[in-house]
Amino acid sequence: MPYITGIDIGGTFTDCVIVDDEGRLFPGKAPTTPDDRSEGFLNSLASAADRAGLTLAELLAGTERVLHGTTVAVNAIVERKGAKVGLITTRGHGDVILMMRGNGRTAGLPIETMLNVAESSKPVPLVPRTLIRQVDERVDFAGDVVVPLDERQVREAVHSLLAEGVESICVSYLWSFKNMAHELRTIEIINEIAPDMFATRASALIPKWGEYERTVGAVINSYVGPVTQRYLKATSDRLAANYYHKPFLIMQSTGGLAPVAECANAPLLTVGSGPVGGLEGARFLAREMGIANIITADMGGTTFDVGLIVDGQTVKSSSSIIGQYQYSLPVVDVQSIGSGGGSIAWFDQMSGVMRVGPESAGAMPGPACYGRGGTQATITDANVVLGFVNPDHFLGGDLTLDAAAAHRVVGDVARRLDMSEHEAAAGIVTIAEFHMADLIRRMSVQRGLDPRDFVLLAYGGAGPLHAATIARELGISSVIVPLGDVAGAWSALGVATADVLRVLERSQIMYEPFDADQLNEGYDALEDEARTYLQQQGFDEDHTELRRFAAMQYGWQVHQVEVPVRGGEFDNDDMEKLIESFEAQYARMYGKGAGFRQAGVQVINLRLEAVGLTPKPVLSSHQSKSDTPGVAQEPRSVYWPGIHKSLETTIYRGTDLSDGQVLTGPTIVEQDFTTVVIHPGESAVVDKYGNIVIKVTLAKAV
Amino acid sequence: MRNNTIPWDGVNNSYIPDEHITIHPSVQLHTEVADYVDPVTYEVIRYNLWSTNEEHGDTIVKVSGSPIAVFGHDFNPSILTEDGGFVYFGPYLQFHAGMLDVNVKWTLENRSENPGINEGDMFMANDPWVGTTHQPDTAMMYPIFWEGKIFAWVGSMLHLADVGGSTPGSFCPDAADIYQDPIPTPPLKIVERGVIRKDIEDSFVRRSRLPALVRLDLRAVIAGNHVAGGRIQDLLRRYGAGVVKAVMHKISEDGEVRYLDRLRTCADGVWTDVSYLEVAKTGDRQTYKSVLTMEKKGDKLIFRNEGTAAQSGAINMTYAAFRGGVLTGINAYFLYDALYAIGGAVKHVEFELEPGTFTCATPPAACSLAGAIGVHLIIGQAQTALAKMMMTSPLMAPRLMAQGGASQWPGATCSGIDQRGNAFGGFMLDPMGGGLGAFASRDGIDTGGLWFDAKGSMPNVEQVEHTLPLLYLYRKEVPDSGGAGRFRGGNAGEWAFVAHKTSQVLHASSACGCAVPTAHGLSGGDPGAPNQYRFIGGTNIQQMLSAGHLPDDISDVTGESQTIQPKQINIVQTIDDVYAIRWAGSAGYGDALERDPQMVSEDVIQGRVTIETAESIYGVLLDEYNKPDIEATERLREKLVAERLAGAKPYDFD
Repeated sequence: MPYITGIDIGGTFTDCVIVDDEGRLFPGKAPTTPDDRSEGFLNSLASAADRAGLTLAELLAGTERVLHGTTVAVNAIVERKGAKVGLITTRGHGDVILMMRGNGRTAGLPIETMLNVAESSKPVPLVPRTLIRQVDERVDFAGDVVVPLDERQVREAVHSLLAEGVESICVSYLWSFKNMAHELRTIEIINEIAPDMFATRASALIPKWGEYERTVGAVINSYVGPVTQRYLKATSDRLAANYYHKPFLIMQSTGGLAPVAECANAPLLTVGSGPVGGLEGARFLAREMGIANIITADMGGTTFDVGLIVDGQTVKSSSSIIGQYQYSLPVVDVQSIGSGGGSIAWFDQMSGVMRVGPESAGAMPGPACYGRGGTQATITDANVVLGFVNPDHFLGGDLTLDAAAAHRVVGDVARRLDMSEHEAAAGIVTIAEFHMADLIRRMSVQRGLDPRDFVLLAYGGAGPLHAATIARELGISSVIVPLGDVAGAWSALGVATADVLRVLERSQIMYEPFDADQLNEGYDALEDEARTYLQQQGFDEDHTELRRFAAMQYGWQVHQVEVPVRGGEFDNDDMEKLIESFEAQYARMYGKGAGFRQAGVQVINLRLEAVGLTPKPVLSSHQSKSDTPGVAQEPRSVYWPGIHKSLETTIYRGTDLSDGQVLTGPTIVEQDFTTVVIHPGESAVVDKYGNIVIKVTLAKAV
Repeated sequence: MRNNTIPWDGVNNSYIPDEHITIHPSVQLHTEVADYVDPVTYEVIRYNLWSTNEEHGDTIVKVSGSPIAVFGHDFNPSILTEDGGFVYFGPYLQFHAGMLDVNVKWTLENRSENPGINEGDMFMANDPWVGTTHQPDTAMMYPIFWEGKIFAWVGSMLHLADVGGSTPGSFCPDAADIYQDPIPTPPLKIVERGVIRKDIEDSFVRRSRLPALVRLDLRAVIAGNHVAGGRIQDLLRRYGAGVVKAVMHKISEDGEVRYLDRLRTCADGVWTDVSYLEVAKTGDRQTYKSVLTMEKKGDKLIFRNEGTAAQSGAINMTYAAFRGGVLTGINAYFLYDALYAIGGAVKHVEFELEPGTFTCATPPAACSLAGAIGVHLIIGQAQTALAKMMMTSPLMAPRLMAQGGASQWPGATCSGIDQRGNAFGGFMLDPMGGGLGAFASRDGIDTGGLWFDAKGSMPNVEQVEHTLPLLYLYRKEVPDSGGAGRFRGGNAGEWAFVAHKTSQVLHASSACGCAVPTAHGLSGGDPGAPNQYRFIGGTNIQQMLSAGHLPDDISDVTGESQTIQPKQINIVQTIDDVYAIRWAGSAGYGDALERDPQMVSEDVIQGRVTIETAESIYGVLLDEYNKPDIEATERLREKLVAERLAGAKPYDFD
């Protein structure tokens, strides 16, 4: 007592982590219940309580905060089970969301799909034309009203949408981020006519440039609004029924928590928050261990997801895409490729070469070794053939793998390539690992970052299996596999350690010479709003942080580079420093001399992160069972792709390891939810938190 | 067989390299190739080369300022072998496929002795006869050296916003010849051993109305080349030159295998598409015939343009643009799963073009409109000819597609003083909304973009209004603009605007496909609607706005309707003049009378087809809920077929 409890809903399992005041962690797991996810939510709480030796009632009575990451909103979009949405727009611009800026066929799709014209299409509209209403109103680029809002037309629009049976309404007008009056008034009218209607105002969610991306954000918010509200209410009700009345906070895609009521009104903030928990966990661990820069590698069944932490902060992207719809909300940048345990290795008949992914066997039928009818070789099958994965200790022994099936399907590939079975399996794994390394390289280099300045943090079922090779490829010298068996509920831990975050943005277009007062005014306005918000959330000033950023560009450019901006008042002398920091960042990203100073520099957008710092668990060094070095299992023969031969390999169970234990490769550590691989010639040490830290041997620079 | 009366040297005529090019001995090519690369190493390097090319493109997009590069993605990065063979070519504007290889080969032949090609050099070029669609599309080539020899080239084509000529934006509809056009530049060493030559840069930039932007764009492509060049050298250090080169060759060979396997399922034969463009230059009132004939003979595809009108006015294009248009179609139809690696397939594609025609012009023809007129024309004609051939193959027929939207691009450039008192020049990119033509088994895609520019997009209206002193009255899809058919072509769009917070804006138009539709239907499908410029001067629009009303269509305003010629300059627009431009719709497939009435009904309900067209073209009668009346529809369709037969005449083969 007191506890912090984090719950994260995944596709298969709902994970829970309880952190007690000594920093001990108790993970729990329950199957996700798609029909009513609040049920799985409660079951996972009960499971973790059990691990902690508590009843559910005891746990909730002692819990200070319940923190939660949910995929309800994103599922509604993927499964197209969202609300019937009505959209009100500026007259003449009702087709914005239908035209999709002309790139709806390809937005966010892998390149192979983009180039395959005959087999790609625009998505089915989130709002059909029959539910779009246009009203007379117009604001121009300067925010000046050209045509006032015709309230009578708004009323007619609302009534006709109600007659169509819409479940939510959103309003998105041109230039509303410059002048919100018309949208505000429209919302008032909607509330007046239909007080219970879920209504979204575009400029409230995305107060910045770009009507298409703003409208998409608003429409998605309306689309997932009712279902998210229902879910959050059901979950809140279940907590209340168990006498829990303390804060209940929800994870956002922007990388922090928000009160449940806020997410119920702006569920867009939760779309894409799935991988954020994991990154928040990484951020927490980085802070505990004093590491500034981390690359996270989360490999599950279907994808390999990468995120970045630089100077202790998660890296964000300025927009997001879901189902080919792009919206401009700054979200934690997690990029994926279709390289997961279930990714299929296939023989390309025409070119006679082997390819791996992006097609995946998924969970059903899954890899051939799952014995559920899979007939194609996957990365997991290759790992079974090589000996990395123990067929008798998969998911801690919950699933016995069919090793013969793995050999059969990998053998098929081997025959086609005229290779040994081991070499074919090694090839599958190597190709996948290089794809993963390429993704990380692109993601970091694109931002002007050098992967060698990072530590690789690997989690997910297959991340720790491949991490060392990927790290070696990128020149990364250290891999961390976090926290023993908590790694299996990593995202839930991340949720439990996240801060409260509200991102405030303001479109502010400034030309040189910058007027410091104007900049001060911009940030002051954002900070006033931020302080009020944080106060409302119960944070005193000692427990808040305000982080400023400015998105800037050279004249004529369309893409911006965001730079951090210091706090406090600016005078005109500071403006040159602002430009210098922009130029430095620009040169880092695109090379020296790429910038063109004579075109002038512009400020486009101001962003403020208002952070409410939550108390963090204190990780204890008592995760391991004993102080004496753990006992190894029977060694087994493993084929090592890097050296092309089999070696007798030491095998440990994760639960048998102890603090400070040194592991010398070739060694494999079998944890319940993942497998850690330490290559020949490399070593790892178990640190006091239970992390396995692998020291990677790097090739000498040529 | 090609016409050899004028040498194909890139000076007096378009450049067509011989199979073996002549290079001065001071420049050595690195030609080592490993005999064998294991399949795993191959896949690793292949993927890495593709990532390199993507990163090259990302760099250009992010560094470049020009909206045309950012939204239109009017550029393309490439990796080429030491002698200028294509390896990879980016997923951006596809017709540049015909450009960089010939530029590299010309540079090797003509620049190896003087001024020489050294490590760290880059060459730029925008000469239509050496190899560019039109002068704004500028090549930047970078030889990658290894062991003192040229191992490979990376480079890009990028459309620069203004490279001079008679009209802002460098689309010059009034140019009588190349001397009134932007000056063409044969390959020029702009970067010497890693350093930008100030004298060369200044002299190139001097011709531009937007010198700052051109400088920025040059830096974008130079930065892109550095990124890609560095990656390739990393690969060489690690795997050795022989292995990397072997992978490059195999990438092209894979493309070649796919192309041949698929082509061999099609019958031999000859297919022709005939199209007409109108108005060769400002003031002209004629039409010009373009004939594209494709012969498939075994593994070869031979393209000819016999019967095409002589070069004239400003509508001309050169061999490079013609070839780029053709390769665009081949990539999309045959190499959709090979990342458009055209290097091997291209060996089986031949061109027998008549010099002096407007689709294979010789100097001193004006060419600056080819980027929006000529190359779109040939893309469409090649697409149609290929589609007809693909109908003979059960394997390929499901992939064929009728011509897409903006089959002729309704060029609209504007200039003046912007809302902040600065001079501006802009090229309107709304037609990037495009549309896809009908397929053999499904509808095309309404405003589905340009199929040959997978990543391109329209700018937001807010982006345009921020940059240009215009107020958009609307931007919308246009019902019925997609060609009718059993499967319907995708609808196009229209945008309308007035000048805003400025005294006046000066416009120029540059288009064809206004008088004659250029997106031809397939198997009885209708053509897409043509481009349309509508201009109403001295309107009541300001009174309307003051009274609180926005028009739904330009026809809602009253004023004096003015005809805009497809190549008109000095069109003056004030805040009282409403200008609406519509881009061409996509073509349909199959007979409209065979379209499922339910699909017609759904189109009407969703505002994609009007009730009138449902009846008159599709022969579908709808009830008060716009649901089809099946019996009445059957009767009407029988009647329409009878009328057709009554008016039918036997085809006159003479």
